[in-house]
Amino acid sequence: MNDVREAFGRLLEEPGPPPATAVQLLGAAHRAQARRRRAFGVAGAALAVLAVVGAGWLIPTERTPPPTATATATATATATATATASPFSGRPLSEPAARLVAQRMEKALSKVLPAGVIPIGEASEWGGDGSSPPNGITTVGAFTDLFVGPRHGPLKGGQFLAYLLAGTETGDGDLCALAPDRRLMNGTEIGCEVLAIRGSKVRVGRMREAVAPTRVASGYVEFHYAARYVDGWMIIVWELPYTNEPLDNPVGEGAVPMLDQPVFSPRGWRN
Amino acid sequence: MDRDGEFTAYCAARSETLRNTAYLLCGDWHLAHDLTQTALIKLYLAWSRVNRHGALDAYARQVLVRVFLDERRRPWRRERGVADPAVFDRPAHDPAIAERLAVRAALAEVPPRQRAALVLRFWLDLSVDQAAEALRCSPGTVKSQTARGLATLRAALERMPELTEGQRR
Repeated sequence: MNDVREAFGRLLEEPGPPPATAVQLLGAAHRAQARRRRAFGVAGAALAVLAVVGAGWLIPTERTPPPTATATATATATATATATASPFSGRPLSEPAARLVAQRMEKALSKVLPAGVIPIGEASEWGGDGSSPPNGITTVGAFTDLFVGPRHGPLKGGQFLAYLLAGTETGDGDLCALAPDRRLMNGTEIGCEVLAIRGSKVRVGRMREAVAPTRVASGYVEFHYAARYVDGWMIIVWELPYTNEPLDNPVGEGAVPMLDQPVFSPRGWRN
Repeated sequence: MDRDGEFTAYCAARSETLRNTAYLLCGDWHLAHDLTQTALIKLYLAWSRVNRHGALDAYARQVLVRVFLDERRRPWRRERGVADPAVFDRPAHDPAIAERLAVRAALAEVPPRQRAALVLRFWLDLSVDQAAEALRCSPGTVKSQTARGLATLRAALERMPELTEGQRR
């Protein structure tokens, strides 16, 4: 269709702003990679010590029974569910499979977002290699960029990071109920606490992550996380401050959280 | 050559093509700049995996189209009038500029997925299967989107007084 091609060609005659140079693009890519590493570094800390029975994957609609009573039952149910419901079997995930799971995670996560939080599109960035490291944990991660605020007003950016973990051991949906040496990496977790969210008590972990450890500036961000069983998987949700600034920009202690309250709904979460 | 070197060389060679494609998709140079940068960043993050399969161009193209389509779905995005009469109320002294504005306005009337199909098929000369891969849909869908896009574009061009009879064909 030469006429269409010619029309496109005419359109491109319109002068545009100077394009970014390759060096500028490389710099932007480095900053994006640093942000991703920082986020996945946090998740990596969790992976080092968490082991959760893997299987199944849809978020249950009803509340899960207390962990102490269901650990054995979960393991049994998991073994059955693995063959049918889970896309994971400990084998490395292909890229399409990981992306598919990330998209499903995002849909599931979007259901627990409070009013006023707007996820961007469907295309969350996905990460993690879906492989089984030596500790037997299979991981799939997904990022979702979020904006918070009124739909027609100024929006505040944020990033929502979630991980699915699956391994060969039984685990507990409540990270804070685990022994300290089985929880998160030393130095990053600074304790557990119970938050009252809309009248419901929710137990969450609190983490501190060093950022921008450069000669110029360094600092910490603190944030909450929560974990939940999803039919044998554990889904861990973080709320991370979001910034497009280079990592060498100063980040002050106790950065302002994205939300006034944790992003997750108390519904369905273990107390 | 390490990844940074390969990426820099790739950007130097291909970013202009990607930016042009992005501009044809969105009709806005500044947005095209953002879309291209986002696509290239995603490519960088997946570089080793994609490069191993020799699929850099296909991956970059696919990401670019997806980023464009996702951007169009943002809930707060507000479309401007596609055939804004104000644009044509102002006389253009240069016929070439008037024609370009008319083509851009006509293209803006084509829905995003149809426009993406047109750009992939007729600007990038992709096959139906390649376009289907980039759009993540079936070849049949590409064919129907292309046909509808062509019909929409031609109908829009017919309404543009700035174009001569020959230019409309």
